[in-house]
Amino acid sequence: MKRINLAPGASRALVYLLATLMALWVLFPIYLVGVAAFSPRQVIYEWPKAIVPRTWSLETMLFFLNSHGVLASTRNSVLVALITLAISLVLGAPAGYALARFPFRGRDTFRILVLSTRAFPIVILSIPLAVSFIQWGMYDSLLSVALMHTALALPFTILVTSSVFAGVPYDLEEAAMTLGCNRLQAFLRVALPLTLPGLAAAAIFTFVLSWNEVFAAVILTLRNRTLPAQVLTVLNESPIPFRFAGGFFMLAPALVFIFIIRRYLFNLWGRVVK
Amino acid sequence: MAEIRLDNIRKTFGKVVAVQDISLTVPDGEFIVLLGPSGCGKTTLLRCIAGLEQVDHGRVFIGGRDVTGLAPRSRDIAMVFQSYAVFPHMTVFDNIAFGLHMQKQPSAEIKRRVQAAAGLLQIETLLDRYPAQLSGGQRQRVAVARALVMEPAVLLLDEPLSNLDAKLRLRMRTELKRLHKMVEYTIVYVTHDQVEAMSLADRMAVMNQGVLIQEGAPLEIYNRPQNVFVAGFIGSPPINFLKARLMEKDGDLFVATQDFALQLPPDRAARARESARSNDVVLGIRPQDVHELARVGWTEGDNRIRATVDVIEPLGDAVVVTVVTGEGSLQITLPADTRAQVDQPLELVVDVNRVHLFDPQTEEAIF
Repeated sequence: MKRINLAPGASRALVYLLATLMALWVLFPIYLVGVAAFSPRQVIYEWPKAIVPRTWSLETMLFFLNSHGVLASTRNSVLVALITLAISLVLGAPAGYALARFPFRGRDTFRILVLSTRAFPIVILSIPLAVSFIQWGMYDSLLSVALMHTALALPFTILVTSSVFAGVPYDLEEAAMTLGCNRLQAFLRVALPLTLPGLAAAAIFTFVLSWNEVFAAVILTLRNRTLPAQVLTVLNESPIPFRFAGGFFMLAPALVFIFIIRRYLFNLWGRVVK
Repeated sequence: MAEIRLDNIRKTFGKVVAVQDISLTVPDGEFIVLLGPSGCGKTTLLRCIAGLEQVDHGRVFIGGRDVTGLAPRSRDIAMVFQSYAVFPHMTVFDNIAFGLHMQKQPSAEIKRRVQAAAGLLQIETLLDRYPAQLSGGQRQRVAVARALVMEPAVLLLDEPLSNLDAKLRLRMRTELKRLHKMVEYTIVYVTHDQVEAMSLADRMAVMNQGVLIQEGAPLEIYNRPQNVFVAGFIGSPPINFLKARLMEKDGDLFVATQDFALQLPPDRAARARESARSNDVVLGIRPQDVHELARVGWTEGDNRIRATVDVIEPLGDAVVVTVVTGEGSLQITLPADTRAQVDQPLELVVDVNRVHLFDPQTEEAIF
């Protein structure tokens, strides 16, 4: 391949240009949604739109929040996300720890197996799952949505926590054991404090994963909808301002959380992918 | 302070035998060095003593107490790791105090002992710092202080100097030896560096492929290596091994290589006649046991080598000279003011009282 020689400054500028374009591609719609969510109703219908809004208003946002089912489904979403977070950490962190620390037989197979659970498209699984949940009498319950989200999040939790634990040399725990700790104390006093930020990042990511998940939530619930399921269901018969406000309301927490943990995500993916 | 007794220790990882039936007694207060190439099982043996590995069979006694099944914390040991394993989320003070906190010592006592240990290692001024703010050498001192503060019966050190730069390593070596003189703990020290081992050890245990090959005082091992491996592993530059044959001539015994023959003194000749299983032997000549004829002057017996200088490597206090003796070559050390010149002939004298003979099959030493 012929290499195009650019001055170092020029190629740098090109990289920045592309990065800027990609960032705009993502950020501009978010910006528009955000602006619309905080504009008065009549402004939303205006055309052409002003890039910088002249008037601010909470009217649209309040309209969305006061709509039927929004607050209840928000509460549902938070609950489901919290349950998902708790179960995936309780199940996933020990698995991650084992993957990181113990060279047990079949470890690599297990690692692949964990990932392969994500290979089945949820679209294919959804009908059998819905049927099963109905048969078990667990249909339309928050717990079943949380279980489903846990199944989706668990591979991620396991692999990420495993790389978080792998980042703490085992030497440190062994040193603690020679200094009077048993295994558990060594973990609690040395490994846990050092991995806490990484584990928190994994937890937040799990939370966001559940918060954003819509497909399983729609399939598995009828009255106890989570927020994305609720918004999706009523989307078609909703006025435009409602859609903007709903979009922003769902987007904001995910954005904020990802922003907080972005440093860890870079690290984690770097290590998981290898 | 306590004696360590290892009784037939075996440790395997899957099919790999890391430590093969090693028995070893370390008397109270001794500084013993486990020496061997990487992968020889020396660190595994140390970890078996620490309790970080469970032995497959055999027993570990510390101070007469059978600690084989006990956890590391119940063995009265302290260990310094190769990586130092200093806790990054704690200050130097908290690192050193960690073990004492675990023992629930009163805080005044903790403070006193941490101060004392820090003083011993000259890190009193660093107590408030975090490990990230320390140099490698300082971190190493923290690790040693953290172990010493426990006042353990046995102090275990796993290649503690290998991550330091050359100059600092020499300084810490001296300090460790001084430290041992002061605290008189039983110390087990693992290294692959034979110079470090020789300089620190009261006694060395040389290991290879999971087997304890030879134990003894450093000079004893240097002067009387038990087999080819030990002779080759210890000494710098390494010993020269040459294929040779034993030959009788007029009642004298000669050991002849393809290039030269050395007449063995009567007592050594007798030993060779008695122990050698065949006439084929491996001759071992240490670089330090070959001298310039011009400097030694006249010698008794036939022990001269005519050689041509190939390469000269000055070290400052000495030079390492590679000479060609015909078909083969030798590496020897000569004083710095040697008259040897590259590509010039050089007449050498071998100290035949210090050469070694080995059986080529078993690789065991004849002498």
